[in-house]
Amino acid sequence: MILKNHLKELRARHGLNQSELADRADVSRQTISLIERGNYSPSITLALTLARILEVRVEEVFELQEEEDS
Amino acid sequence: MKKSSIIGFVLMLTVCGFCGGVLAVVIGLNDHSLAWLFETVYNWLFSNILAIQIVCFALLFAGSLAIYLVCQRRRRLYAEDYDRIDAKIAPWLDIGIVINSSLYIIMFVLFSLAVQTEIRGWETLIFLIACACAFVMEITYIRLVKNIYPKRKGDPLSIKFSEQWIDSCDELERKVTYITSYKTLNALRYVILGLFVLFMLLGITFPIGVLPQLVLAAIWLFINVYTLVVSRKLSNGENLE
Repeated sequence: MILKNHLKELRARHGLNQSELADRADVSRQTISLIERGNYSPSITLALTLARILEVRVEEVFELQEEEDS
Repeated sequence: MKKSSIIGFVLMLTVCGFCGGVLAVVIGLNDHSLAWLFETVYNWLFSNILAIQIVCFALLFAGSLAIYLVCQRRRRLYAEDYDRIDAKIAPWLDIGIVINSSLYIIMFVLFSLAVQTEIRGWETLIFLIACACAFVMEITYIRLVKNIYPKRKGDPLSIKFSEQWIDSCDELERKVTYITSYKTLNALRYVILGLFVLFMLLGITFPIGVLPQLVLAAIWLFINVYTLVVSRKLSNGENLE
């Protein structure tokens, strides 16, 4: 199972850049960048915080997908 | 346990044992020339310790300062462009901080060499100046990091600086710190083991006594016991956040 996210699209919809979203979520810009690239899975607290900021449910930001067998 | 991992482990033991045996034979065969080399190098160091101190201090401090100035200049150029800051400044900050730490280490080693028989005035003065400069550079680096990443908090002059710093990190930064520490600890165990073997073999040729092995043993024991104590506390749920 891998974690996919729609953070970048939702962030753009709200007209926020990475730094602004990071400031609102009280994390570093690098954290937001790595989450968007799929290189870091946030904690539940951070995931819920991001969903609240983007005014969506957390399932709309993050979703679990089956890993594709290569 | 997989068969391949057992075979790999046995192979590693065999190779290490072979290399150790070769090293012991080489040292045993060449004990006179090695002892002569060791004494020559040691005497040269001891006679020129002040010059070596000054050169090391100048090179390392200049390197640390140069990197700091480059990072500061780029900070002004890049302003809020964090992609460029992460790519062009952050790695150089890390290198500069390591060079600065190396200044402390090398000055301590050279000073301890200098005062083996008596306290020497000039060497002591250079040592104190070098440590003071390294300390000031360390604080200056920390201030620059805090300027670039305003969320980072901590007073470098406070005893609780490490706690304040890690508390101001977000979850990703903490994860990076913890993984780095774990990997460093594991690497340190191998280094200690390697040094143990090296000192045992060197003891065959040189009169180094048992102090190096005792110090390594104390460090190894401390690491193991402290790791156990901390991990037990964390397993009980203390200070996990």
